[in-house]
This record gives sequence, C-alpha cells and structure tokens, in this order.
Amino acid sequence: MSVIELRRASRWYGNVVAVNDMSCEVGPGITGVLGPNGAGKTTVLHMIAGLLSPSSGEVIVNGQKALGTPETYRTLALVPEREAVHGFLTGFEFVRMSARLQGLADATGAARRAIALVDLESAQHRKVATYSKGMRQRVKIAGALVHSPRVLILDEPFNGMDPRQRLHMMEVLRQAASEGCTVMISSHILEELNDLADSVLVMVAGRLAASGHFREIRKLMTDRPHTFTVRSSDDRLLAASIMRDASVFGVELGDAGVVVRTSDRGAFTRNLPRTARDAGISLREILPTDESLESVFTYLVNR
Amino acid sequence: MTEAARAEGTIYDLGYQRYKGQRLGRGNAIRTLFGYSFRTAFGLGRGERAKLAPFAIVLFCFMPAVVRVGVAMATGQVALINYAQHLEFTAFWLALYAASQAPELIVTDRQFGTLALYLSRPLRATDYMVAKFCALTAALLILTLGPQLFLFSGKLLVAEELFPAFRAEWRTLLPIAGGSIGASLLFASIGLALSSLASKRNYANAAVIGFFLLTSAIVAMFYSITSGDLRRYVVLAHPVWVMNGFVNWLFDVEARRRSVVGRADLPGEYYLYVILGVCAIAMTALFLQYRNRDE
Amino acid sequence: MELPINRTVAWLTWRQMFAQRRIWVAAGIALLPAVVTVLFRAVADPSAEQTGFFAVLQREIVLGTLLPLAALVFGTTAFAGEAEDGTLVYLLVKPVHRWRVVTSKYAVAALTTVLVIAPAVLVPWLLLDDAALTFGIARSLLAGVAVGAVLYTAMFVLVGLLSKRAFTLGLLYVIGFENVLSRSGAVGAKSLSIREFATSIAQSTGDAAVVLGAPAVPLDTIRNAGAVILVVTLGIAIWKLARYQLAERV
Repeated sequence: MSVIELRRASRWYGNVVAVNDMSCEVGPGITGVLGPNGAGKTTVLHMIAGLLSPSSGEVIVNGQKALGTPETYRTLALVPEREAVHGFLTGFEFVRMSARLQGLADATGAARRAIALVDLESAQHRKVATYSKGMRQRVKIAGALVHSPRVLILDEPFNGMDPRQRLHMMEVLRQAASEGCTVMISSHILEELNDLADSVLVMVAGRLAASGHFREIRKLMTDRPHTFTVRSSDDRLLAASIMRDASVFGVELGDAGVVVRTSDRGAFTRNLPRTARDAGISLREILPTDESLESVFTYLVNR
Repeated sequence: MTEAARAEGTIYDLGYQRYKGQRLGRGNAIRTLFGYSFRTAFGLGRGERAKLAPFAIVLFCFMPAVVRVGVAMATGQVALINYAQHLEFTAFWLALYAASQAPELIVTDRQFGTLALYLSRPLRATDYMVAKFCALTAALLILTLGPQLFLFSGKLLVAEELFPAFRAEWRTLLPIAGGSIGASLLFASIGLALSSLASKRNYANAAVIGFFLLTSAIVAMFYSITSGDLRRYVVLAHPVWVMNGFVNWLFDVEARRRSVVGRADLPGEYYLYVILGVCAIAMTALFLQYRNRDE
Repeated sequence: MELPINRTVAWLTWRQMFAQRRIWVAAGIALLPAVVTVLFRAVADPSAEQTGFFAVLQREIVLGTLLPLAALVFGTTAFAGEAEDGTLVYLLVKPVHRWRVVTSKYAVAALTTVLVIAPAVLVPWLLLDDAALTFGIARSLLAGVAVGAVLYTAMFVLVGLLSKRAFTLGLLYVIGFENVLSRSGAVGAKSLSIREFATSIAQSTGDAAVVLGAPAVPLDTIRNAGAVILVVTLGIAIWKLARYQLAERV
C-alpha cells in the first residue's frame, strides 16, 4: 500500500487553479516533485502536509486524511520553502524546540544528533539571525529529522546551499530513504533530482504531466525521436552507412562522435552493430544523449 | 559553425546601447526624492488604502476653516474668522498626520530594504534625510497653511470691498505663514525622529502616537502640581502648548487669559527657541542614524 | 491536571516577547512612571498632594495609557509577528493541538504585560511616602492591572490573528474608542470600556476609593462582561487558528 495517495485532488483560490485534478501514489524512497515555478508544487506539498485542505478530491497519508488530527505529525515532517526561522533562537534551541514539540523524551540528545547529521555543530550556539541561507536550510532540515519521521516533505530544500552542502544533504536523504522513509522533494533545478530521485512527479500548470522513473517516462515518449552519440574508428563512414537504415532519420557529425536521431530505438540498437561490422568499423562508445531528466522535462513542459 | 569562425570568436552586437544622454546630478536626485516623498505623504501613487488616512485628515483640517467662512458669509460676522485659534483646533489632526505619514516616508524604506537602492545613487544619506524632512514639512504646510489661506480669502470675500480689505489684511499673511511653518517643522521633526527608531511602520505609528499621548498627559499632570516659575516653564514641554504660544506671539495676540499659555505669560521668543531646539535635536538624531549608512 | 497550555510554545512565546527591540519598549513602559515620580519629588510644590499626583499618575497614565499600550505590544506579537515572518508554520506541523498554541501564547502575553506594568505601579508607590498610600492601594491597583491585562491581551491576540494591520487597529482602538468611551458621561458606555473595568477594580477597596476615586462600574458587571469578553475572544482566536491554512508564499 502506498504511503501517500492523492485522489483527484484539486485546489483553487477563487479563479486560480493551483492544483488540477491530480491523482498519484507515492511510496517509500525518494520522490521528486518537479515543475516550473507556479506549477503548484508547494500547494501539493502543503496539502500532503495537512496545512491546506483540497478544494475537491482527497489527500490520504498513511491511510488517513492529511488534514487530520495533530497526531499525524508524529511521523511526518515538513521543511517549508520560506527561509524564515525564529531569528532570536540559536540553532540548537530551534532544533530542541522542534524535538520537544514532538514530545520526545530526550529532546536534547535528539537535537544534538540531528545537528550532527546536518553538520551544523560548529554554529549551533549562534543565533539563527546570523546564519547564512544555506545554514538556515540545514537547521530547518535538522528540525525536521529530529524525530525520525516516516514521511519527510521538503520544499526546495537545496535553495541557497553550496555544492558541498548539497551533496552532504543528498547523502542524508538517501540514508533516510534507505531506512524506509518516504521522502518527497520539490525542486525546479533538475540536476539536484537527477541523481537523487528514484521517481518523479512532473507538474506543469497544476496538472500532473508524468510520473514514475524518468527513464521509463522517456521510453514512453515514443513520439519524440531518440538521440544517440556513437564514437567509432571512422565516424564519417559510419554516418554514411547508418543513414541507409530505415529507422534513422537524422545524422550529424560532431566533436563527440556521430549524433544519430532515430524514431525506433529497438530497431536501431539491433541494426547498428550489424552496420558497423559490415563496414569494418569498430564501435567505441554508444551514449543515449537525451535520457537526462532535463530532456524529459523540457519535452513535457513544452508539449 | 565554420572552422574559421570558431577559431576567431565573435561578439555580436545585439543593439545594446549605453546611455549617452545627460546625467542629472545630486541636486536633481534630491529634488526628485522630495517630490516623490511629498506625493507619498498623501498616499498618491499607492493604493486606495494609503490615501484614506491622509485625505481624511486633510478634510478634518480644512473643515473648521470652511465652517467658519461659511458662517461668516451667511451672517456677515467677520470677527468669527480668527487665524490665531485655528491651529489650536487642528493640533490633534496634525499630530495624527505626523504619526500616520512620517512612518510611510521613513520606515517603509527600512522595512523593505529599499534604502540601499536610494543610497547607491548620487544621493548621500544626509541628502536623503533632508529631502524627507522637507517633504513632510511641506505636506504639513498644506494642512496648516491651506486652511488659514482659506480663512484669509474668506475674510476678503465677506468684506464689502475687496481691495481695501486686502490692503488692510495683507500683513496678516506673514504671521500666518510663520505660524504654519513653525507648526509644520515641529510636528515633522517629532514624527520623523521617532519613526526612524522603529523597524516596522506599525511600531513607528505607535511610537509617535504614544509620544504625543504621554507627553500631553504627563506635562498636564506636572502643570497641575507645580506652581510659580516652574509651572510656567513646564508649558514649554508640551508640543501643542508650544505651538499655541508661538502662534500667539506671531500674531501679537494676547492669549485667552484662562488658557494655559495665557497664564504662563512667557516671552514669545521662548516658544520659537523651543521649536528650533526640537528641530535641531531631531535633525541631529536623524543625521547620526543615517550617516552610518553611507557606505 | 495538566495545564491547558503547551510548555514549549509558552517558552517560545516568552523568548519572542523580548526579541528585537521590544525589550527596550518594555523597559521604557516599566520605568517611565518611576522617572516621572522622581521628577515629581524633585520639582513639585511642597503643597502638592502626593495622593493627588499618585491618583492621576496611575489612573491616566498607567492604567489609561501604558497598560493598553503594553498589552497591544505583547498581545499582537503573539501571532501577528509570526504570521508575518513566516515562522508560524513550525508550530502548526507538530502534534500539538492548535487550541493549546493559542492558550499558551495568550497566557505568556498576558503575564508579560502584568510583569511589565507591575513596576509602573510599585516603584512610584515605593518612591512616595504619603501615609495615605497604603499597601492595600498598591495591591488593588495590581489587581486592576491584572484584570486589564487579561482582557486587553485577549483582544489584541485575536486582532493579531485576524489582521496584518493588527497593530494599527489595536492602536486606534486604544486611543480612539476607549478614550472617547471613558470620557463620556454615560455610565452605560463605561461598562464597555476595559479601561474602566481595570480602574474600577483598582478602586474597589476602601482605601483605594479614597485616593483614586469611586468605582464607576460595579464588580458584578465586570465579572460577567469580563468573562464574556475572555471566552468570546479566545474562542474566536482558537477557531481562527484551527481553520488557518497555509498557502504558498502567504
């Protein structure tokens, strides 16, 4: 059974529809919520976190309606997008307060562990008002992790973090996911989710444009040609030979090799080795060049 | 891309043009900021809500003048039109205006972080302060001078003949102007100096209103418990009483015997000194605060 | 029985009360009457009555102006500050009942108001040595302060939840409505003014009535009206927070 389920959930504000009839299921592991600004990512996450009620449809978390009793928060945590944290508290006090509000028996110990996890030990006794943006993000994440939630929702968590901090946080999230946590991260920066998310929900203008692992999504996009880059011992000859193949409709010579566009992935992968062997060319490298999340995303957004 | 183009590298002219026209200097910047702040003091250029308070207060300031002129016209009794008392009536509204609009001028820039934008222009911090001060004083002048000019023209219209009346009355324009400038300076100084201490507009509103409420109450209390010379000098601590004394002195009118100012019977110059003193203190406070922001 | 508040929320609110520059405001409010009293002792006529001064100081300045001002500052801080800064969300996504959040914040705000105004009552009382100013008077003044703080803070906490311009609205209420009400002659009008409630409580003991004047509002009315005000304002505040939904960037 999936942990989070949206059943035809919609949310509108007057005339503006922020989330439009969205249905999906999210299970353990890391799920990315991807979309341009204004796509409705924050609205969906807030609905799952029980801060917003859906205008129609249902949002179910762990078998219960998301907008339920406060008890649901014992196993759920939200890292909101706004960077505001109580400036007059120290980092440690903020995380410990979070732990106490969760009713943890050893709030101080849990706070210390959470702060160590986000690598904020050196700054934990300074007031949050003196923190950089990246540090504030980390202290928010520490506050969310302090009670080891089963469901962790992060809204653009890597905003303002430098690459080193980001890599560290990604490790932390992978660790949590491997222990069975359901992690949902929203972002509009594709590189962040490329390595992190097992599956993605792509939202465009309030609707769910695609869901699942992005390589699978790519495979489903059959009306868009696949592109491969092939390096061989004789690119020009290979280009000329492969052009004769019916599944190939475009060939380009570039620095990285021959860029081949084909409409039929399967046929091409079968024919290429045969063509190369017949022409006496040895193939060195075959790379699918547009299976990145970026190309998937661009395609979905522009559809 | 051909081999040759790749080897050389070209930058394409997209039509970006540098501004080659005249660059107006610091003076212009100050004048522009003055004009903009003056409009902000009346809520112009902002939403409807921003206009509500200033316009209402303008209305309340003009109303006594309009009523008096109206009655004078109807009954022909010119004596009703008395400039010296007018400012006294509207003192409450002037204080409220300062409390409501001084924060709009000074605190919005701090609250929303736009002060740095201003200071990165050929505008120094002191220029900024001077422009704001002049703008609020000018706005208050509308509230003080405007109704009095209205009274003045009312008096002329009621008279039987226009030109002789004008010749007789024109001298009163000087004390009218003087009194208005003094009152405007006083309230503007207090409003701006107190607002500059606050980080949010709401708090600045409260600070200025609180100041007026508390000084009135405390000075009134001290007035009732002191006597003799000390009692007379206590009068100098109350903003509205100071304004009254100043106006009476300019008009060379004996204040009503029963009024506080009348009984204090201080030399008129003292009120002038107090007003100038308050302005000086306020400007110094503002200067010290804003001087550090010139980075 | 467990207290109807959440201790951590209370701790957070306590820290909030004095954050930023509010500590100076608190100090100013607490010490201003003391300064005025010192001045009084220094400059006043020997014939000036200490009791008269004390009465005016407490009635007009402390109960009339400083008490509502303090309740305004601390009551609106409870919620308006958080909603604006965006930090309210951290309290909403925790297994804490929202009504407890309201009561905790309210309790701390009211307590802070009392703690800040108490010196305003006690220090002048200590500085004056007139025999007629007994401890009983100080005690009844403190009772009036407590009642006023409880009621004013409840109203301002609610206003903080309802409106962003909460502070200005509260201010208008204090200077406009209450001043007009208390200066009007109608007894009925006085029953609507929290300031009159506080003053009447302060005047309710025999000694106090001599110095401060006779109470204008009967104790029964205060008890009933006060209870109604408290229940209604806190009730609405709880209801409002329970329905509070956090949309994007709001």
